[in-house]
Amino acid sequence: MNIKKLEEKLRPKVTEEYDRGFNHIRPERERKRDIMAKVLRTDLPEGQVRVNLLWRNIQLELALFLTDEIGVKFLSSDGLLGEEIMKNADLVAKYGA
Amino acid sequence: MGLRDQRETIVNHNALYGLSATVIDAWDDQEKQPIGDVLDPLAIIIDPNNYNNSKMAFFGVERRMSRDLLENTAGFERVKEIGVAKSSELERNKRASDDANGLSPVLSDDEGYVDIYDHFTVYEGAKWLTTWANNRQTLIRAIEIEPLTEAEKRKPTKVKFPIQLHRRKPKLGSAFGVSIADEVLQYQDAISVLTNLQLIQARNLALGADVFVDDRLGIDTETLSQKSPGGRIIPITNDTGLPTQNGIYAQQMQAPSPFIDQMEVKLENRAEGTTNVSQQSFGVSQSGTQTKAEIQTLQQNANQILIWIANNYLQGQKEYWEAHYRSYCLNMGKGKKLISIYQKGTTIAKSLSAEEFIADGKVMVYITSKSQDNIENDKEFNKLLALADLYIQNMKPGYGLNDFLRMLGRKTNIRDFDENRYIQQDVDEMEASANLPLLNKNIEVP
Repeated sequence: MNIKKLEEKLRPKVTEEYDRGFNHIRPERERKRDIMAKVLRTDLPEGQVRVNLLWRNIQLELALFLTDEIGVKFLSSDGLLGEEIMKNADLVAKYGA
Repeated sequence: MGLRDQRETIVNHNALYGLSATVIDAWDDQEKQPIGDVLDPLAIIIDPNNYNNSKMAFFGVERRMSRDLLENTAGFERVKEIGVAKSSELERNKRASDDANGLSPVLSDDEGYVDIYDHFTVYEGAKWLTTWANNRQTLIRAIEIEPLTEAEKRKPTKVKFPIQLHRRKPKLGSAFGVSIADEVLQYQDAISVLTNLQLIQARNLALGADVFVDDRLGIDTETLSQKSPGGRIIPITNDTGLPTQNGIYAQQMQAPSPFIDQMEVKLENRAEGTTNVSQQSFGVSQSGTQTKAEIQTLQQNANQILIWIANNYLQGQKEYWEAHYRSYCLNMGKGKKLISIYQKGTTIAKSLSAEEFIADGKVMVYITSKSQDNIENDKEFNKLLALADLYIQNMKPGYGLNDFLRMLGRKTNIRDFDENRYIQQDVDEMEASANLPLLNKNIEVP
């Protein structure tokens, strides 16, 4: 279908869905922007300190989940032949992604 | 973005926003591999009914893209019709990020960059990726997401969008999950206030606070206007009749209260109670007052929640790899995928055609975590060991015994331990191995 015709047909649906999604998350988006401004700021008034519990927790969570090695394994319903093919798929995921 | 960077960004996004989103929406025909990206969580539009996994009726994301790249990427049309309209939301995200990092805003080249909006939706029973420009007024790309499996071909709404949502802790009814910021910031603020009060108290103790001076000492106003090291110099009128040599008085200071320290520890423990990531997660006890049993119980509880968070991350990975494999099925075509395999200290190259790693039937993806596998493996090894005496005594030599001993060997998890070197194949096993290639080619074996 011609893209301009498709545009006419799709625009009302896309606009409705965008508005619905945007209105739903807007307050939370605002709050998260404020959080970002608050936690990333380093220019504190002279003589004040911030106990950075957040960064400590982020670092611990990163350490816990990134030092773990994740494996990807594919299984097929194609029996023995599928098994051999899936071993190659595992290799592609591990070495070729 | 590499896979490790991608996982790191997913954890960081979850820490700050409680949600991270990835997409596989392009294909590198030269390298023969899918192209994935991590999206800005503050630029996405989510179906309000989606608060768990990645099933959704629609999904959108705003992106800033170079006009040049847009013109040279297949699938985009009407690029010349795109004006300079900028997304106010993307501008606000950029400003918030620059402000937070203390950076000056970079003036974007209006002509060189355009803001586009990708919207995944359902149209006439099929799934579509549509891309819009000029504040969602001009459609510049529309691609139907092809059905792949028989089930999808029968019912195209079963096709999944190539979007994966990663939430460390999903929250019922909320598109965003629970972030670490949600869990610890109120405690961080309270502890910071107490610490700053302690800092003021310590500074005053070190330098001395306000000093009161008997005005009969006749100190001139210029000296009085200067500050003492720790505070002000304040003249007072002393009518007690005491001699003037005692005319300088320092403000009485209170000794620091141990209550503040106790309160800080209490708040920190409460914060750890919500995140479950603490020194104890690493087996370290901070307080000497807890018994070994208490520490073990706390650690077990914390571990259970950490396993839950890990499994939530793995669910996102599973969806990512399903989309990854799907992209190979749709785009690989002819040609070969070259991979370099690192095994036992050497690297070997292998080239694979589509039919060598893409199966016709239904494919399932399993994601494994090495740390969790190791825990399970150790448990299984101990159980096998407990059974070994009984089993070995009652097993006849041959396939069953060999298989049991090999499994026991594998479960030791000793690096470079090759169980087949010690338990070699018997005649039946050799025959079965020899028949395998024939079975793979669907040739009946005698």
